[in-house]
Amino acid sequence: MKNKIILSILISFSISIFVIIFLGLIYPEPDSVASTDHEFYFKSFDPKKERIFIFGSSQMGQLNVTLVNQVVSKNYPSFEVYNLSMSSDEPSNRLPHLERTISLEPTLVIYGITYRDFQTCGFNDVPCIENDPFLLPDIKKSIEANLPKEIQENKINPAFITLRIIRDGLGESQLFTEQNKIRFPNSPFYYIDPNLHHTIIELDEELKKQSNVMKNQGLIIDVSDNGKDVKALKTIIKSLKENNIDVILYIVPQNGPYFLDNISVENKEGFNQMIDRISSEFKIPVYNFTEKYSEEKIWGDTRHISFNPRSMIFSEDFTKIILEEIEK
Amino acid sequence: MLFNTIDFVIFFILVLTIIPAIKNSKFQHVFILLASYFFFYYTSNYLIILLIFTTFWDYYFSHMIYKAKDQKIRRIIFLVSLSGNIGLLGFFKYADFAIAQFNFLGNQLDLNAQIPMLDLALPIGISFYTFHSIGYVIDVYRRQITPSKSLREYAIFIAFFPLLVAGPILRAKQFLPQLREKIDEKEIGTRLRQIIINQANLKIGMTLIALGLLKKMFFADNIAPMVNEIFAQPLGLDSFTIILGTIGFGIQVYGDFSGYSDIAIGAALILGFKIPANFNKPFFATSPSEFWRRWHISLSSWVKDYLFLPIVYRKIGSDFLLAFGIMITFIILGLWHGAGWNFILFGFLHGVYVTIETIIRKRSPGLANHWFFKKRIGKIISILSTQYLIFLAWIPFRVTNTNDMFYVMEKYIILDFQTGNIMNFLMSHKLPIALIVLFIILHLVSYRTKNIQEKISKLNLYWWTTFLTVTFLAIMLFYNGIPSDFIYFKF
Repeated sequence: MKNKIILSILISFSISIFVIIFLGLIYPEPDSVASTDHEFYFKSFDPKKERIFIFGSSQMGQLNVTLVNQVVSKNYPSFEVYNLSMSSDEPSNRLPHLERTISLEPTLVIYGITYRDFQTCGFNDVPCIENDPFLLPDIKKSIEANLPKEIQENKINPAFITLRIIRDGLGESQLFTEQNKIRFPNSPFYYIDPNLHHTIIELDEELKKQSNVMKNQGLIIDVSDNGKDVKALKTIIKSLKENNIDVILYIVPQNGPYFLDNISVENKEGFNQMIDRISSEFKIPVYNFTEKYSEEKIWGDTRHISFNPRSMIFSEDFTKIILEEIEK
Repeated sequence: MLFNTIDFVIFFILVLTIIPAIKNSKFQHVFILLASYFFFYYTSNYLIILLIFTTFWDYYFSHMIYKAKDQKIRRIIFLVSLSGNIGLLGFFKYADFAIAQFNFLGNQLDLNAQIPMLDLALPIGISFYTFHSIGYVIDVYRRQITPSKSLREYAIFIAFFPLLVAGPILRAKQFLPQLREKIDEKEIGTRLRQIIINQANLKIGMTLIALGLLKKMFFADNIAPMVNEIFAQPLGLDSFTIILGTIGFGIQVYGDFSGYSDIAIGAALILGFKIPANFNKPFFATSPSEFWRRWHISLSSWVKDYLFLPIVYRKIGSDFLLAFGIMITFIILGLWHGAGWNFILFGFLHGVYVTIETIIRKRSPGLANHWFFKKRIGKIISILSTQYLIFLAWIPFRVTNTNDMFYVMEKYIILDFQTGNIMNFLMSHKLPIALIVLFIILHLVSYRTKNIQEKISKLNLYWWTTFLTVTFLAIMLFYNGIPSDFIYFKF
């Protein structure tokens, strides 16, 4: 009898796993927003409109581009704004897609950059300091390091598939709104994920915890002219200028106590000097917003401004920059 | 190690596979102890030292207390033992809170010196295993139990993995006899019991584990995003949204913690250990004191026996002392949940509720037997009004920011509905709202059906397999791939 009970447990567990795998296969998650071969590049744009592109990483992705586009189009109906930010983007990652982007003939590119774009190690990446909080061997970490990449990166999300099946099955997209990822038409390579704290304003207590983790990991940035991302950034700006596309550098806002205070004076100085060099070499304007909202309560985590009605100042100020540049 | 991770599933399967293969009961017990230490070490690493320290400390002190002939010496040894436990708990859990209060007072008095925060990692489960240990020492001091003769046996009691990190808080007299062989119905021998996994325990235990996972992963984890969204920025929200968030949080915390308790009790039962229930449909309590007889029963009975009764001992006739005892007990109970003024307020509110109820009951002993409370409508009104107060007390438990907390409480009490917002909110949160409704329906069903776990486990194998499959499917289909912590892990 005991064996029969064990068999029952195994059967029910196996059926559940089988159903999940089966659904995963027939409903693959359309998660990839990689820019290669993305439909955005094959889209037919209105030839009468001038396009403004925003480049950058997830920190720029948090802009409310719908609002930015609405305000810009209202003031200048011939302009439209697209946010081409991508998660974890760095100039060297963007470089391979540059030709494709140039072929869409934008009028203006606003490139949002910050310390993270030039890091060789540090925050949420490979830690610079092997600062293991544990004194004894970490068994959990050793096991996790040997797991398949999909499991390590938490790419398995049956709830997302289930909700999609319910939505599709009921044939009414409003019945179960997609909670996991919010996509916007003018932001083709980035989505807002409420599960990743993209939409809430985080409490100081939590920001402090994240800040401590970051502090323990350290940060090294390579802002020398030979650094791979500096080289890539220069190549991007040069190519854009050669194609008569105006470029603006926008230095991404950062949280003061929980981010900027963790950056060393050397890193800050090196970064600012690099920006000055690039600005004077290519004669491009720089909007430095690093400390603009450093004390504001608008942060979703230590690096990202929340996508939230209370964080509108970020998108509103950004819109003003675009309007200012169009007027020039 | 979280119960809702594949790590635990593999760990538990290994334990269940190895235990029957060990024929010697002594080795079985050693294996259980080592497995428990591994379970703790896996996520807590060097903090296992505190667990081992607590074990040695109280094992030897309890023997010294027991052997001491002089009452004064017994008391001194007892106080040393107690201060060791409370000191450890206080240092790791409350040091920063105390420093923050000192610094605040210093600022008020224009003192420039600031004591730096310690920023200590809170050792997981410290509140639970310290309470296990304190309870044991008090029982030995009161001569209610004789101290365990075997360090191994005592170490298993403190570190038994299903109960180690979030309870239920166990009494030695409930657990230690289960490690020993039964001579007959009344007497327990000294020989170690052979751990046998029997079919009845396996079936009930697995049923409890499945229901626990359902409460945690299907209900609590899927209601949590809506609750988090509401309480992340509550300022400006209307009463409907606030009340919905509060109800959602009450259900979330119940699903989370009672789910954890069910898994713990189920896992222990499969290994042959019977652990008393920790929850008994608390949302059907008809009074605040009854709520605490149904919610986190192991903690509330612990504080009653080891804190409240000693305070009011022999002076139960005095209303003042009774009220004082209740308030102190509940404030400490609140503080046990976390180092913060919000938890003190949580305890304070419950203390006020129970004090008022106790004094009314004391002064009007016939009130409970009034015809109104015997009728169905009277009972429903009692349940609803009790739950209204209980859910009000959940607000400081969840909302830590003072401004937000008072705003939420105001909106909960003084109703202000904005019809336009209600529909928008409902339309954009259908899944958590559907789960809240489903939870209420299932909770009603389980209230009407006594011993539902036992009834499910008595189903024939075909229906039982169907129950397990449906439960596992519900859990997995709505699992978002990221195992979330149990709320009570923080305590």
